[in-house]
Amino acid sequence: MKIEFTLNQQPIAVDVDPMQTLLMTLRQDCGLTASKEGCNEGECGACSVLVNGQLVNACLLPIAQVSGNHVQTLEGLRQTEKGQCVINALLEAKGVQCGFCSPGMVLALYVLLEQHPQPTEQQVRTALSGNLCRCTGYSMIVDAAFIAATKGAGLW
Amino acid sequence: MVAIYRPTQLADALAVLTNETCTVFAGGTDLMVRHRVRPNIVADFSQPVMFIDAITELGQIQTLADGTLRIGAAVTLAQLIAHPLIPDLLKQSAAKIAAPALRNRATLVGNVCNASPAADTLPILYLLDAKVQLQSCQGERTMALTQFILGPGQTPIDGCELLTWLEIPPQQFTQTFYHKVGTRAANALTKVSVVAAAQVVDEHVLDWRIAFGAVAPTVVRSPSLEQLVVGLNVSQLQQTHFITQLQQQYAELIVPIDDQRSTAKYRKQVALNLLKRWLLMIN
Ligand SMILES: Cc1cc2nc3c(=O)[nH]c(=O)nc-3n(C[C@H](O)[C@H](O)[C@H](O)COP(=O)(O)OP(=O)(O)OC[C@H]3O[C@@H](n4cnc5c(N)ncnc54)[C@H](O)[C@@H]3O)c2cc1C
Ligand code: FES
Ligand code: FES
Repeated sequence: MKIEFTLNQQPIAVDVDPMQTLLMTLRQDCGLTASKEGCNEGECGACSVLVNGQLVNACLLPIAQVSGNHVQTLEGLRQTEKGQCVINALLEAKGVQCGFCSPGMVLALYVLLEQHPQPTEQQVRTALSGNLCRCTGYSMIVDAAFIAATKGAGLW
Repeated sequence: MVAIYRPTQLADALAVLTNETCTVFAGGTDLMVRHRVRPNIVADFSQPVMFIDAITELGQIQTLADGTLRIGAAVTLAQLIAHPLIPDLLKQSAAKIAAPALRNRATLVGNVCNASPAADTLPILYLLDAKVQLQSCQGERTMALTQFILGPGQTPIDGCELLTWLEIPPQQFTQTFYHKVGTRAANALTKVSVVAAAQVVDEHVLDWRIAFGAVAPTVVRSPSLEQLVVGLNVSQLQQTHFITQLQQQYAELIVPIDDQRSTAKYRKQVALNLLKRWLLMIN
């Protein structure tokens, strides 16, 4: 079935099974592999992307429900000043080790700062609560939120 | 490949359901996991899928003339939490479900229709005397939530029907209590949960309610035991022998199971401890 949506600001059409997930579509049909498949059941956040500006688990979203919507992935976000701000903050805080969770973390941090330019620690932890990281122990990722808030002052 | 429908009008959805048996799909956070096959294989849906997320009418939260709150079947948990009209207890329980990304898709009505003993919004909806409205091309019927939830995963909904609206009658409490016990704060299904509310004026208990989640096949709420508390003075319900007696009476209704998340013994003890905590909190 033909499904049309916008992907990182560009209109796109794919011809796939409408029940195929957005994650599978991104990785296999669109060649965008930043979003990762961790658990495939909504638990880990490695597949996080933005749909109409909202964080979602792409592994649970059939492409049929994406029809007509705006999808943003790390590949798109990193072209923007805000995306760069979050990525640099994550690197500065040493919040990346194996990197498997990082694309999802960047998107989760981005929506956090869009909603709360000066977040509290509780807000940071809530925003990251659906994103699992097996390497860093989270403290550095939490630090990254504050670095991005400070260094990106005026941006958010 | 199954047929799919994604109407924007309720009437169109109901018309399709009259002729075809479909899987009703709201946020899909239960369904996608249930129908999952394995990585890189499309989820296995054996019958046509009716997406209801794009039905604009059902994306609304409204107050009716008599003060009843109506929540449409396409309202997500995130929308619920952000909405000024929603009672705080309902927001608290919705905010304990999974994590932000999941709450951006999962719906309140999906949580209800899934009828899981561990569904986090059911205890509070029982406590608030919620009703559900079912609609089909033939007409509509409204029933108490207690009549809608028949057992784990079981509801009386007919194939041609949609649960369109969840209704909450207006009510006032002076005090509320909510406690969910899970392995961690986010992304953890409930081992046991307790939600309670009371209206106390001049130390006189005018209304007193409590509901327990994940301790029986369906939510435990007992209007007859609640009546034993209503009318008392706060000091009376905080006497040790009264608390023990009420705990014993509730113990008969609390019949949990052992499963991968917890044990029956733990669930029962925690439920009764939380009952006590709630009684002692009232002032
Ligand atoms: C990682 C993860 C964590 C979770 N954590 C929790 C948690 O902590 N607490 C909790 O309670 N749940 C949890 N859940 C379960 C689930 O997210 C919730 O039950 C959610 O509210 C379901 O809503 P939905 O819109 O996604 O439902 P769907 O999956 O779309 O539907 C659920 C069921 O309801 C039926 N249905 C939906 N809408 C209607 C309607 N309008 N009319 C008739 N039938 C309908 C569907 O056919 C299906 O059988 C979790 C799930 C995942 C994947
Ligand atoms: S892969 Fe989607 S949440 Fe884990
Ligand atoms: S850096 Fe390895 S999972 Fe987070």
